[in-house]
Amino acid sequence: MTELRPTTHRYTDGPELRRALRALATDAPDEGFRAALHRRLAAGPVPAPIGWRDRAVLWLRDRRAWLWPVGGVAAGVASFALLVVMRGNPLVAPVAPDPIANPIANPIAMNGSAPSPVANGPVLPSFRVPTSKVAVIKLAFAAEVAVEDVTFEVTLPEGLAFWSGGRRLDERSFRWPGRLEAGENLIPIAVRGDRPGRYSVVATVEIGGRVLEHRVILDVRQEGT
Amino acid sequence: MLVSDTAHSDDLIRSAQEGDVRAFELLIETHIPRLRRFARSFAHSDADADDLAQEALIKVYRSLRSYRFESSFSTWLYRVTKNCFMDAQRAMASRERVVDALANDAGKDRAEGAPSPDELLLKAEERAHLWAAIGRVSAEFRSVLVLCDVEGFAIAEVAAIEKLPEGTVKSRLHRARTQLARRLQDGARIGNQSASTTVLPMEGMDLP
Repeated sequence: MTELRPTTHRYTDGPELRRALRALATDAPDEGFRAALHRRLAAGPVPAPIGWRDRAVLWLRDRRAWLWPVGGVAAGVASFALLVVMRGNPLVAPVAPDPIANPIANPIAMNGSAPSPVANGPVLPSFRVPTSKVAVIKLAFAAEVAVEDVTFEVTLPEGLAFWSGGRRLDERSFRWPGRLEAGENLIPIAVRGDRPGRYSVVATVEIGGRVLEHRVILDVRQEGT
Repeated sequence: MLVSDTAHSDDLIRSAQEGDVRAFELLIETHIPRLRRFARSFAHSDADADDLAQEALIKVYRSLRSYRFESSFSTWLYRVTKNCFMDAQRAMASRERVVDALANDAGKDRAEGAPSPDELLLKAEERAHLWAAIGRVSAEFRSVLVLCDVEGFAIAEVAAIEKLPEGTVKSRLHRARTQLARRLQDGARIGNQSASTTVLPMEGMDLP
């Protein structure tokens, strides 16, 4: 007969408890576990294909690091276009922005009439700017999480020039290291057309060896045309 | 056969993803004992644990195509099974099943030199008591406790399985041990009380 005695649990703390826990890690007899599992696996359906929703989530997750900045650029350009349309009147801004270090707040044309957006295909946003005016393009790079060690670069073609402090800059390109903060990162650039033409402004952000490029078309027109 | 997280196991995973049951069985072969014990911490008895482990492994098999080789297969396996256990426990929370697993062991034949039935019974009772105490540890701490202290996983491995920072795993482990010690103390008090009740002399009963 089993002796009746209180269950004694000596291992209520410390190494004894740890030893008792490790002692639980003994393999139980199979007792048909594998055979039963095999029967159930063989009788059941094969692995299910991933649904479209899961596929979308996985696709987005794989591209999260660069998809958000790309989306941010597109959103920034779109917001620029929207603001330009909404603010039909020119705003004479006394500021003379440094395109890189001294960002200005409003994505508008200065010293004259606002650039007007023109419909020019679904991919490249296009904006019409008079030759006599400085236009400010505000690029917004949005990131879901902070991204360290990115490199920004904005390049202008011949015929467009950066403007800062009320004067024309000779540099065709600016490149600077930085980081993307979580949320929206605004990069305004002030440019002016030397002569009429359609120009492509290239903005890039380099993230971990991957370069994301975005182009904006500026349609510089002679005033009054 | 030992199947580690290597190129060979990658081939097995791909075959299993295409519906090769044997490849899947080879993949999980070395993990089965651990998974059965892991399930034990979410079940009332060994029998329930085996049911739970089988259910979880079937779910693992069916969701195998969502494994994308981003973590080791074993990390993914334990993560998915743990989620299955947690789901099952939530579903079981309202119903209680009482299975006397000890009774099954008590009637087995005794091999020469093996522990006596009394010793086996006592040992089994202590194991059952310990599992029961583990089962009363908060669910989010319990899996960390079992993976670390029972199965001997490293903190970093558990952190990968749980998708938690290592600091959080350490903190959970500490809290789990504290909770377990408290549950065992409570259990010992209850055990002593019930034992003292059991030995009350009854008319016509021979006490040792």
